[in-house]
Amino acid sequence: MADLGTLSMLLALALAVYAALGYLAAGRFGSHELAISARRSVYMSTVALAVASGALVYAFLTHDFSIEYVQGHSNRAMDPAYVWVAMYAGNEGSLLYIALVLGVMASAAVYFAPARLGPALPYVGAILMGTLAFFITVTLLLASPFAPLGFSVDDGVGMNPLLRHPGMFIHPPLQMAGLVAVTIPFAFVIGALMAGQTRDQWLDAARVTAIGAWFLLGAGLLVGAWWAYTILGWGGYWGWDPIENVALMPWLVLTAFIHSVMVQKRRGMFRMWNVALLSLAFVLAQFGMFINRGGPVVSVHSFGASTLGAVFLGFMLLSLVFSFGIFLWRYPSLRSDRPLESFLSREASFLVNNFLFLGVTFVTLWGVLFPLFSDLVRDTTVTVSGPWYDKTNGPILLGLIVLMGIGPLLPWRRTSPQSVRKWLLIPTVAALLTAAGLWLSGIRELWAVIGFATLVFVGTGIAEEWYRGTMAQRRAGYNPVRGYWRMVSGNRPRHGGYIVHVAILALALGIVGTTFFQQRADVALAPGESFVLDDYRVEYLGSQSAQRADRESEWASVRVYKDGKLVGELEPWRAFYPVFGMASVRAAIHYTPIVDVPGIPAWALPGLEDLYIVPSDFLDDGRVVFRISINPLAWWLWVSGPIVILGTVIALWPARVPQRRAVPAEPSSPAPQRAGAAGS
Amino acid sequence: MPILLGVLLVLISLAVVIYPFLRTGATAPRPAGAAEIERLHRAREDLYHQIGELQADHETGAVSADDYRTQLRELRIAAAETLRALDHVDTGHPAAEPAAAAATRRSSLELEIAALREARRRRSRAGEEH
Repeated sequence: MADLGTLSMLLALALAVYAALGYLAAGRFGSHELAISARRSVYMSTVALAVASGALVYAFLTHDFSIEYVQGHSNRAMDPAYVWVAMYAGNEGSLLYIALVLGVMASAAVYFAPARLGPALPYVGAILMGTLAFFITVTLLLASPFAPLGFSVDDGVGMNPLLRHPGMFIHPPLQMAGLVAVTIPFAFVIGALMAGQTRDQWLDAARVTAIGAWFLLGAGLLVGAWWAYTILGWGGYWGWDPIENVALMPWLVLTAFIHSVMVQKRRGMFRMWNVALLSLAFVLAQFGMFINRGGPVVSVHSFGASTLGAVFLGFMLLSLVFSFGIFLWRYPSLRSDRPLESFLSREASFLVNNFLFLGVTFVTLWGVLFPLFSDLVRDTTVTVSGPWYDKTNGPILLGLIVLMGIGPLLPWRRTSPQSVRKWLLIPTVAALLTAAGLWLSGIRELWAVIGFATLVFVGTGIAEEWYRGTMAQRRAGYNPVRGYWRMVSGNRPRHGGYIVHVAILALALGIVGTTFFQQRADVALAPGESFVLDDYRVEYLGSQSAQRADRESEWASVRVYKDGKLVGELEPWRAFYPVFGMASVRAAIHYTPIVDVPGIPAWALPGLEDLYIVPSDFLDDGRVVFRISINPLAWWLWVSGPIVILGTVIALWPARVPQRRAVPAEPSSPAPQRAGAAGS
Repeated sequence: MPILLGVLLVLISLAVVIYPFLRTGATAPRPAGAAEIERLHRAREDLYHQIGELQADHETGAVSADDYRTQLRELRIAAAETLRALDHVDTGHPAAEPAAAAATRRSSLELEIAALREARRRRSRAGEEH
C-alpha cells in the first residue's frame, strides 16, 4: 500500500502542476481546450489524492507497521473506531488530509464557478492548483506518510492519548478543512483581479465560499472547545493557546468580510477593503499552518516533532507578497462607486464592526507573537496568558456585541437620529431593567451585569425587528407564522445573519456565566467521604482500575446530591499511558436544566448549570483528588452550534430568481410606521 | 497489485486529461455577449432586492418617508436603466452609450418622474377639493 500511496501522490503532484501551468497558459493565450484539460486535471489530481488517502487508511486498518507513520500513530490495542481516523493524528497524515480536502474543494470550486467569472477562471484554477501543488510537494518531500520504518516491529506506539476522544472524529477535520477552505474565496478574488475583473464579478462566489470557510472554522473551534471541556480536565473550554488563536484569527477576519461584503453587494462600496480582508484571512490561515507545524511558539496542540515551520513561513510570506502585489496592481480600479453618505447607516456600522474585528485579531496576533518579540528584545521569553487576552479583547468583544444590537436596526445609506433613538428605546429600556434587576437580586459583578444587560439589549433588538417585520406582513394579510416566514425568506442573508447573531448571544451567555460565576474546588476524598459545593453534595463511593495493553485506567464512583436529593451517579475516569508518559482524564458532568419537563431529556432543555467532576489523581492511600466545579450556563455554549448551522443554511439558501415585475409606486403620503417613528 | 493499481490510475488520468485535445467539435466557449447579459440580469436582481429591502425597512419604520421616496426614486431609475440595457442586449443593439447621453437620459427620466408625481399630486388635490 505504501507504493500505491506514494505513486498516487506523485501522480497528484504532476496533475496539480500541470493544471496550474495549463490554467495559466489558457488564461494568457485563451485556449479553450487547454482550460478544459486543466480542469479535468484538477479532478484527477483529487482522485489520486483520494487513492493515496485510502491507501493510508487501509494501512492503518491492516496494522501495516512497516510504514513509519502507521507505526507511530496506532497500535493493536486501539479502539478500531480510532484507527479509521488515525490518518490525521500526526503531521504527515494531516498534510495528506489537507491536500485531499483542498483538492475536493478546488474541484467543487472550478465545477460550480459562476460562468460570469469567465476570463478569471483560469487564474482562479491556477492559484488553487499552485497551493495544492505546494501542499503535495511538502508532504512528498518532507513529511511523507508512506515512508518505510526500516525495521520490523510487532506493534505500534499508538495514538496520542489526548486525541482518543469522540471529538477526534469532528474537530481536526473541521479545523483543518476550515483553514484550507480560506484558499477558495482568496483564489476567486485574486484570480478575478489577475484577469482584470475589478468590479463585483467575484463577489457572490467569494461570499458563499467565505461563509463556508467561516462555518467550518467556527464549527471546528466550537467542537474543539467542547473537547477541551471534557478531556483536558481543567474545567474550561478556551485557553487562548497559540494554536486556538491561529484558528480564531482567520475566523475573525472572515466574520468581518461576511459583513463588509454585503456593503459591496448592496452599495458598491468597500471593494478594496474586501480584497484586503480576504488576502489577510488567507495569510493568517497560512500563519496558522506555520505555527501549527513547527512554528517557534509553544502550544499543547502543535505537532511538536515537525520541522516544517520554515517552509510554511516561506509560503506565508510568498502569499503575502503575491496578494499585496496584485492588490497594488489593481488598486486604482478598486475604488468604491459611492462615498459613505452618513454615519447613521448600516454600512457605517459594518465599517466600525470591521475595525473592532480587526482589533481583536491584531490583539490576538500580538499575544501569539509576543514571546518571540520578548525573546528578541529582552532575551527572555515572556508568554501572555488568558487574563491578558480577557482584559484586552474583552472590552472590544463587548463593543462588538453592542454594535450587533445597533447595526442591523439601521437602514442602508442613512437615517435620522430620531429614528435611531426610537428604534433603540425598547432594547435600551429592557437592558436597563435587566441590569437593575440583577443588581437588586444581589449580583455585584459589574462586568457580568453589563454583559447580561448587553445580551438583553441585542436580543430585544432582534426580537423587535422580527416583530415589526412580521406585523408588516400581517398588514398584508398573512398570519404571524406565515408572515414571519415570508419576512425571512424575502431576505435570507439578513435574517440568516440575525439567527447567527442569536447563536452568538447564546455563546456569549455561556461565556459570561462560566467566566463570572464558576465555583471550583480541589479536594481529596476517601471512600465514603463527601464534599459540599453550593447546593451540591458529592459523595465518593470507591474506585476501580483496569490494566490494558497500552494504559492503566481508573474509575471513581461518586453520588451527586442536589438540595439533599440524589440526582445521579457518575464515573469520572483517568488513564495513564506509559509509552507517552501522559495521563488523560474524562470529566463526568451532571447537567441541570432551568426547569424539568417530564418526558423531555434534560440535555434538550435550556441549561442552568453543569456539575463538573474530574479525578486529578488516584492516591496510594485510596483517596482520590477531585476537581469539582459548578459551571453556570455552560449548556448555552454548545447550543450555539446548531443555531449557527440553521442561520448559515438560511443565509446561503439560494433566493428565487425574481422575474421582471413592477416596482412599487412611490407613496404620496408616509407609509404606516411604528408609533412615534420619525416621519421626517 | 498496488503497483498495477497505480499504473492503471496513471493511464486513466492521462486519458481524461488528454481527451479534450483529441475530440473534434469541442464545446465552444461562451459567446462574448453572454457575460454582459448575465451581468445585467444580476444587476437587475440586486436592484429588485434593494427595492424589497428598502420597502421592508420603510414598513417597519426604519426608513423615514422622505428617505424612502428619494431612495426608491434612485433605485427605480437604476432599474429602468438596467432593463433598458437588457432590452438593447436582447435585441442585439449596443447597450453602451456615451456618458453625456446617459446623463441626459438620466435627467430626462428624473424630469419625467417628477412630472408624473406632480400630475398625480394635482389629481389627488383636485379629488380632495371635489
